[in-house]
Amino acid sequence: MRGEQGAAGARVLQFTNCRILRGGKLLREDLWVRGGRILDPEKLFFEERRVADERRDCGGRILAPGFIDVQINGGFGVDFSQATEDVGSGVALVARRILSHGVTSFCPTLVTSPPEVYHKVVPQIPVKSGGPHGAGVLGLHLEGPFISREKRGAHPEAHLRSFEADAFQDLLATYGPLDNVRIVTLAPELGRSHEVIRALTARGICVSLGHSVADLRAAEDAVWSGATFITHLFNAMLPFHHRDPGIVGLLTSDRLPAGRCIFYGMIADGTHTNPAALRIAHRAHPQGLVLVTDAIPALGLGNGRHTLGQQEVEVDGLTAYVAGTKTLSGSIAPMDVCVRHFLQATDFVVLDDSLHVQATYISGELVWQADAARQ
Amino acid sequence: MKLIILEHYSQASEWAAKYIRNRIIQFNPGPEKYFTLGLPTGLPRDHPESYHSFMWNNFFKHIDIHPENTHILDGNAVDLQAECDAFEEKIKAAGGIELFVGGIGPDGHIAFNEPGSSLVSRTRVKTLAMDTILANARFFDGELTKVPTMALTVGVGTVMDAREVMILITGAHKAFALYKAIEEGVNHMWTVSAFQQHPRTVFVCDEDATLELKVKTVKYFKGLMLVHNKLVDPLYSIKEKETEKSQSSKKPYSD
Repeated sequence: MRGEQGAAGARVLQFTNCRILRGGKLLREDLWVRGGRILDPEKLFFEERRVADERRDCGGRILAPGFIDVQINGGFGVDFSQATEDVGSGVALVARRILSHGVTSFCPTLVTSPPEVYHKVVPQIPVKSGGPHGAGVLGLHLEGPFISREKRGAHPEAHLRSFEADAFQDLLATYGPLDNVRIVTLAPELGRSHEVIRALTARGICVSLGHSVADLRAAEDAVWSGATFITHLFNAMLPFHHRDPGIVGLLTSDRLPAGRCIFYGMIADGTHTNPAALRIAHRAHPQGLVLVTDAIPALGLGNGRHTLGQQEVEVDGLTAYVAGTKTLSGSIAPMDVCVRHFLQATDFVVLDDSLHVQATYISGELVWQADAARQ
Repeated sequence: MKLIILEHYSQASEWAAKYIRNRIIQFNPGPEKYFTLGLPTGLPRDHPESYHSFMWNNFFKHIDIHPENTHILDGNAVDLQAECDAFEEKIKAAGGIELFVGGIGPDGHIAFNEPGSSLVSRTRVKTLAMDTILANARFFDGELTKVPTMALTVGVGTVMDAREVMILITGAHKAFALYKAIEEGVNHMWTVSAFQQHPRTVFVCDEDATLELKVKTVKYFKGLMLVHNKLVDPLYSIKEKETEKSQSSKKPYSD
């Protein structure tokens, strides 16, 4: 973390006997924390002349940065796209339950919905720091309704929209105030998308390309306007074609602004993408890869029928389809399962551990612990 | 002196480490009794390759030493000579150096006491010789202009005051310096030679470092390895000592 070395008076915590991720490698190093910030132990030693107040033995395990899920539609029966009276407690429940998956911050995601839903729900989900109560809310991810009809996937056709008439004003009218919004997924082939992308980027909102039939040129232009992310690569977009790679081609495009890294979400639940495709993406552009769950309200619940926004969804094992169809509708694999799947698929760094989450820390505080690890 | 010859760099390092461990255990340090380990000094604090980073990453972070018990010469001090004088005082206050561990430069220097340094010198500012600057260039991406030309260093006299001195010498490029240090006379051009007049010195080296020595010297000391290896036999650790009733008394072997 950047910034000062935490409150100088606070207790210094030293996590020892662990492996941490640094520079793309797992190193045998201690992790020092004070006042919720990671410390530089060298500075502490030489400048403040202090030692740790408390040591925690990690039993040789891996200390990984908390997972951040930027695409999660709900879980444990909670649907973020439902305009209920108490949206806040639904978000809080999901925030608390995903701690056991190792997720320490997330972007609650809303699927294509009518404007009334956005106007009611968006103001009720503010940005919030994580803690013992649950993972932190980084801001909302609005996926749709400005997406392609052809590639809508599980999004309801009736509520798709365009912003041809009034560009950014159309978007504002649909969503309402954007204070709590962090990411917007849209299809760049829609008319006047460049104005919209520029306006969103100017407000610090991340624009992601997805649910689109854009070709590579259109996608590149969108990146020049400010887009920096791709929503669930391979899904809901044109397939890679050797004469027109489409959005997938952004991973290796040489026509992007200098120094810009394009990031892309991947759902590594074993269903949405074939492991071979995962590997191709990873090998082509490893630095841009972001694992997302795209989890739906059925996450953590059993098989059967559940809702997702305005749609009904059937869950069977680790797959979820729009009821009565073969259209994939989000995922129910928790983040740590996705991480393990990804490890299996790409086979980097073979470890003894099986990456099962043992404990979750937010700002140096233990917020969740596996039963076996409890003393 | 004791000349310890091991086959490879890693074995020499291990022998030295075990020896230091044994010395600390035998000394039986406590809150009022400091085992003062002396080490040579280096580059200014700010530099990423600074001596502070080096000491932190290679030593301090692996042990449970309290930062207040570490004293490193500060190359950024306002009054450098006062810094050096204060350092000498700190050594006295801690009861003197029990064991000084150092290496040797290709020009036979100990710490940064370059050829020509007084053999009774104390901690002071030294201008570095070209040989040393060239050797340090590897820490500065090979750019000679970036290498510091001055350093604070303990003096030869300061090290001579230590109760025991251990010098680590590995690699063929140090072989000539080792020869000059132990087979020729005491000479301020090869400052390590000063330790010929120290009552308790241990030179730990690998085969390559002995390349310039007389066969007779090497054979003599290799023959003593049976005896010398007893010095690194495992002793009871300090923690175990408290619970152990009968502790076999191991006195350090002396010449």
